[in-house]
Amino acid sequence: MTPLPTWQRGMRGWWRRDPAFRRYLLREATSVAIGAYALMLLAGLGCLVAGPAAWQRWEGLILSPVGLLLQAVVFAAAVIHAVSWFRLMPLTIPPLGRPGRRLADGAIHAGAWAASALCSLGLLGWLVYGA
Amino acid sequence: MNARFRRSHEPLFWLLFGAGGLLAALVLPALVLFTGVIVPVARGPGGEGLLDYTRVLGLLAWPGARVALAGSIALLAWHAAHRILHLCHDLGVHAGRGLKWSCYGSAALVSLLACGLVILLPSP
Amino acid sequence: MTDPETILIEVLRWHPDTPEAPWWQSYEVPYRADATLLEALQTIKDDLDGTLTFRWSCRMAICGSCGCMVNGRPELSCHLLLRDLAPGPVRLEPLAHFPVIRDLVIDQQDFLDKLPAVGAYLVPAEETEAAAAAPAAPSRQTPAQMADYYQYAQCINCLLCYSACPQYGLKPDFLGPAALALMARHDADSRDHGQAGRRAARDADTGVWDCTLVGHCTEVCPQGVDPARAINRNKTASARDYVFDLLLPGRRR
Repeated sequence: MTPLPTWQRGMRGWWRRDPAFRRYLLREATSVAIGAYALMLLAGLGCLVAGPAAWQRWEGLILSPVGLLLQAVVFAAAVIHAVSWFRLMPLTIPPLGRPGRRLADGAIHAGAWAASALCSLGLLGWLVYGA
Repeated sequence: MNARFRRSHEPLFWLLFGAGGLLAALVLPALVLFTGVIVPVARGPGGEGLLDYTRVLGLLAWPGARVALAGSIALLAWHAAHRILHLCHDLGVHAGRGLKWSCYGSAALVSLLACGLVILLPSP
Repeated sequence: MTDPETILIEVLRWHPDTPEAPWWQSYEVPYRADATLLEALQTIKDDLDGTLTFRWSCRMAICGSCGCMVNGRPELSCHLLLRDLAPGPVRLEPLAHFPVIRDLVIDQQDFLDKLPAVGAYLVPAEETEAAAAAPAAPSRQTPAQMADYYQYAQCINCLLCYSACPQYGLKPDFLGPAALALMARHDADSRDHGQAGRRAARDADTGVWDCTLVGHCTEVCPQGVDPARAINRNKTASARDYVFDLLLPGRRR
């Protein structure tokens, strides 16, 4: 049997089809900001090794208006990332609990946010009051 | 049915991506809040800041803190590299092997640099 | 608000005799508040334009035949009421990502080829080597054991999830949401002994690893199957096996 003639449509601009696709791309794009922040931390670490003068330049840079604006973008990205990461978390981990008595998604969400709050407070406490 | 399928090496990169993503979800908002808001706002009476050179070296005197810092930078880099690679694919950039190597290569380089630098950190 | 007399339905049409020219055609269809979109299509076919081609069968959202893009979103046309689409216009296209045969009719062959590839059937114990000696026993299952796969077993193969998945559109070799959900459905069944046979398909790039958790498959599923969950839980399982096989070389299949 010869295959039927068909019409194959392309994928150009597929994200225009549904707002859900644009939300997905926004979620994925947070990685650019997170990567930039990782590079900023790496540069800071390098300056710390290089000495007090270099460190001061790095500190000046991240506290400059441009540096603060960049960090505002990173903060927004980090929040979008955290919200989407925890929302999707129940989909990625194996079912917890026993058959018939599986842990509900809501409990996983609550646990994740509680862990986040705990880690965040611990980190901030150490950064502000440590040493 | 098995001849058609070759095992993917994606799990290796996905696990690093996932570890970085979990770390970012847990603490990144707080960390950025610290460097971007708390540090510029909080100045001591003598003008001393939370990110003064000797204070930061003091915080990093503990070996655990050094491991955590290098590990965090590395994992965030792997997370970003993996997602950026897939984002390029989603947006129609199919650079194949070259793009894959440059994404994951950059993450590996960042990891190496981070590990090397924490070893070189002077003691307070 | 008074009900409108008619509702405007625009259909993206394509005919193999004029392959270069898909076209939009508009129909003014009599409006009834209790009519479904599928009934409107049937009215067009019966009274307005007999050449319009579309699939349908059960009219009650269980056969999975009448899927199409409605205002850019994959839907079963029998599952939508005209009153929820009024005042229109309603734009209908064939399901995205599939080759079009004519008008709203798409070619599902790719999916039909993928179904056996994921081992979407129960493998009884007798067919495995370990159980060859034992006499066949009835396969009993508790309600709690059934609850673990029941949701995935609701799939009606309507293919809305494939049209919702940009990764399938970008990489047609991807096994896709419904097939991988059915893989998880059979893996999770306490009566099944075929997990090992499904590993290769799961662990391949075209298996769970082409998924980037866009998640739209789950949002459009008319049966609440949640393919996104089925696939991404299998990513965790696939990654776990990858690490163990790497660390314990004797374990590698």
